Amino acid sequence: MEQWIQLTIDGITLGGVYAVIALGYTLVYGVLRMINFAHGELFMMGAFGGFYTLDAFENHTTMNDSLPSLTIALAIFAGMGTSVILAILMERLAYRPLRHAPRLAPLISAIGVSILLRNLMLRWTNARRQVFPQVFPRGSIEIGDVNVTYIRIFLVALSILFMLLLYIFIQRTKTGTAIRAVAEDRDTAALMGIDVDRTIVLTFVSGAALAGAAGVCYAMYTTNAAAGMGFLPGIKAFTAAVLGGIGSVPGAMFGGYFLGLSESYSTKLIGAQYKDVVAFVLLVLVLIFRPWGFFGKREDRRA
Amino acid sequence: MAILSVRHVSRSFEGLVALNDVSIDVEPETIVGVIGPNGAGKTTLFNILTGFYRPTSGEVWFLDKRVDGLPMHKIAAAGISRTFQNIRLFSNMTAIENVLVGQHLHLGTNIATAVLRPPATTRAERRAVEQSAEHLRFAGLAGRENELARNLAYGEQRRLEIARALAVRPRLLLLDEPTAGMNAGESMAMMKLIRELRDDLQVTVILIEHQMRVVMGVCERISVLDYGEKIAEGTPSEVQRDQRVIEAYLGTGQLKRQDAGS
Amino acid sequence: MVQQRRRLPRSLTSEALRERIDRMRATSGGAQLFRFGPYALLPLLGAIAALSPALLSTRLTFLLILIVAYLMMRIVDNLYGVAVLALALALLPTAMDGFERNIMFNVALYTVLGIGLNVVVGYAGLLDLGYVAFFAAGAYLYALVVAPDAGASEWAQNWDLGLTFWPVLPLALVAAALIGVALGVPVLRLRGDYLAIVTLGFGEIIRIMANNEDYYTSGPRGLFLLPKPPFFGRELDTAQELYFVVLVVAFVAVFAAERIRDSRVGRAWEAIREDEDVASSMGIDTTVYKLLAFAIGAAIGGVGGVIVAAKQGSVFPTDFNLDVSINVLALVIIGGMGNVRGILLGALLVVGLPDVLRDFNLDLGFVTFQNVGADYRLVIFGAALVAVMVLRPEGLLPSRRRAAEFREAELLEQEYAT
Ligand SMILES: Nc1ncnc2c1ncn2[C@@H]1O[C@H](COP(=O)(O)OP(=O)(O)O)[C@@H](O)[C@H]1O
Ligand SMILES: [Mg+2]
Repeated sequence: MEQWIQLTIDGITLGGVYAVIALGYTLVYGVLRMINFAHGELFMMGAFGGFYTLDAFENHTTMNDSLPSLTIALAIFAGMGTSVILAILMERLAYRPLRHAPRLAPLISAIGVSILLRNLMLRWTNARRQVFPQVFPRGSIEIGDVNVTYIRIFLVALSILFMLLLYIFIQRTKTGTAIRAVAEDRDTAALMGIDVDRTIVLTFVSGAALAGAAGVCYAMYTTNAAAGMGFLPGIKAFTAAVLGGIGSVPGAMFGGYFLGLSESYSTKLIGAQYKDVVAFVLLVLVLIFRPWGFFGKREDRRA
Repeated sequence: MAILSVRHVSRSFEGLVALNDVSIDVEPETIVGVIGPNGAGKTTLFNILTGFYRPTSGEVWFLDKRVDGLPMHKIAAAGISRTFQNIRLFSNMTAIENVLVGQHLHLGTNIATAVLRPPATTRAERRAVEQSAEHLRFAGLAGRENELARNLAYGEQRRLEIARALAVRPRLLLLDEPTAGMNAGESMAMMKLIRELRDDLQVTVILIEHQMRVVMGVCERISVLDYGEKIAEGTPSEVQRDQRVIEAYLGTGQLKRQDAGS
Repeated sequence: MVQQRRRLPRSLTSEALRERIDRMRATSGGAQLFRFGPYALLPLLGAIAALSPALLSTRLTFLLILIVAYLMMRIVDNLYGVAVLALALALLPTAMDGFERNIMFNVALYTVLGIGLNVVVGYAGLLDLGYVAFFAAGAYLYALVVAPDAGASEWAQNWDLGLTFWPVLPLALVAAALIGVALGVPVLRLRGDYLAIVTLGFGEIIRIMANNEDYYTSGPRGLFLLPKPPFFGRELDTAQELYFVVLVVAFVAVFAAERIRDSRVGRAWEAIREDEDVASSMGIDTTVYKLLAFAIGAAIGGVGGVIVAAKQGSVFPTDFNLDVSINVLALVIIGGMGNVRGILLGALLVVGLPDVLRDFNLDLGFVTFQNVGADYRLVIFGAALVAVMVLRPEGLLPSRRRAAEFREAELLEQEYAT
């Protein structure tokens, strides 16, 4: 029984990370109908942004000991900043020129960006994992017989906070309204005086900020950062987005938790070595039987 | 004996009823017009007849075979082909290649014969090219064979759509606004082509049309749709006098405008 | 100028190329080149291949050959170009050392894989990111059925089928095609970008399975000590001999792929790529034709897998990671989708060049990149994929059609801009 509870806690932690990354896929897909293949790499670059910032400080100060929360916030903001800057560059250089190109073109371009970033970091780090500074206080709380570390609680809380913030941003702010309008119908939105280019950039920026923050948190959680760390979470988060219905914000959250839990339980039911296969199998099943996901809108073909 | 029988067909899109209990019978080798204001459900009807959509309820019978819900390629094989309101050519293929694609069902080349090219295959492919050229000539596109479809003039593109649809060798041809955007002279030529389709090739034709002159000029029977319902049916003169039709068109002002505009 | 034009034999040139040649002749430099005619390139190539190793570094030779091959493919029409190229490629390894022969082997192998993937991506317009799955299937099939004594998996030792390379080739062709169909059936209804991710997933699943399975694949220990192809009482074991095997396979694949493209089957693919719904309303069973493309691509990939397993004499799960799929995709796209000559060029650039530049150091003064070819190849591919899509989306040597498709997109964009 404890084991199942433990697995559930694992799954929720992981699911929160997937959900936050999945939001980025969903946002960008919503406005551009394009899968940002390099989104997982934004997650990874965010982690490194946080890592190198902490690395720079650790040598000079002992800020960490006195003010752990400030250090953590600094790392997270650094990660967000890194990803945001990269996302802006990415959109401007690799995607915007292809907005009216055949469908495959932006997809291939995105694959290119993803390969580029991953291998660049691979060289930069000499293909070695970087141990992430231990900034988060160790320790845990006991719930019955189960141990829950602080970082997990933090991770779950943060992911929920991010989702709420995003939801408010999308539903309540003017920019959010613009994003929804562009997602609904780009041409009409442009006619209504919405700056479509700006809105698209802002969409990328929001997704990237979330991915960057998730990257730093994930690196704190696993205590390391590596060039390849974005690949699998990227694909899994995409799966999560599809599960929930790509383009749907609540769908992405649902998909993230669903996938996190499935993966976690599968380590016990099937075996840990196959846990990465679970996401792929789920992805294939959903795409075949319910490609619009659980919350998405079914799109009919038009003639 | 009707070649096509649409029986109580309805189709809705997320609550919006695009077609409501529509029944139409079409006799072989007639030219039938489908008219109605924009959004009346005319294109939706074509989409159901060709398998783009499934009807929400109702049946479609073609040559005594039930065809609703069949995949599109099976419906094409059964003998229905169409053109599109918003032209949908294979725009980066040449005119003749577009028509060759239409011949797909009437060629037998598979991978093995494609690679080995036995004489029979070479002959069949050559014949297909000749026939395609013939279809292009019929549609008035002689000499334009090797032009990329997207480089053709607008009117030529509409004609190429017809040539391509003819290559399928349909018994029933559905034309979705074939004269849209054409001037009077082009429309006249199109009317002539439509009559030839029936007279020379024995194809049954259903056309969606806004220009009343064309509708009244070529159609032998007309069905009128409004808000997804069939509100009238009959010969052109019967339909013209029908009170509901006049109301429907007065409501939108379309009958008048279209008449004057053409 | 115009009066002096010497026409190339009609049979050798296509309309479009003749036009291009005529345009080149109109310039003075071009006219000079054509005084000799493209035929002059053949002895030129031969001379470079024969002489330069003595005069220049062998690496430079490769670059020169690359340039000549590129020029040739630009200027000369299919048949002649391919014949010259065949001859050149056949002669080439005689003047090379072992390392370079290996490069040539890899170029030829990846050309085969490129042709296979091109059927899927270039002809049918289906983006497959898991092409390595079929490559792996062929390689593992070979490793399982040739049954060496040691180094085999438990299954292979139990069954000891004892087949040799040659019967395995057609076997792998069929098996990979079947796997292609089996994987294709569930996913081919999916839209382009979903398909890409699902195929990527399949590629990864196959690798993870091979790694975690033991009875058939021996897991990460891999299968080794595999025999080489027998050939009239001896074994083909040098890189050069195996290179000829791939070369032959490559030419067969080119021949078949081009003929299929120019038939009813190729037209059906093209129609599907242009507008799937309309294609199907013309009577094309789109599912069947997409499966067909998948199967043909898979079959060619499977054959490639057999060859590489025979060459290496071993098979490990790590041989089949995502990088293989990416390399093949990159060469197809950079070379020019839908065009066989583009693929040749793509293979030279994507597979050959990085190896040639393996230990090349790039010193920019403030920063030095070491071993550019070995360490930065994927970085460069990534950048190249983006650059090609943005700057020259049709690839370096596009098919006429693909170029048209991308130009159309540009025109559309201009319309939007105004
Ligand atoms: N795929 C679809 N999804 C949602 N609504 C649709 C779809 N296709 C058609 N409609 C709606 O059905 C109605 C009828 O459309 P249509 O058949 O195209 O009219 P028309 O008579 O002008 O050809 C319109 O209100 C249209 O918006
Ligand atoms: Mg319509």
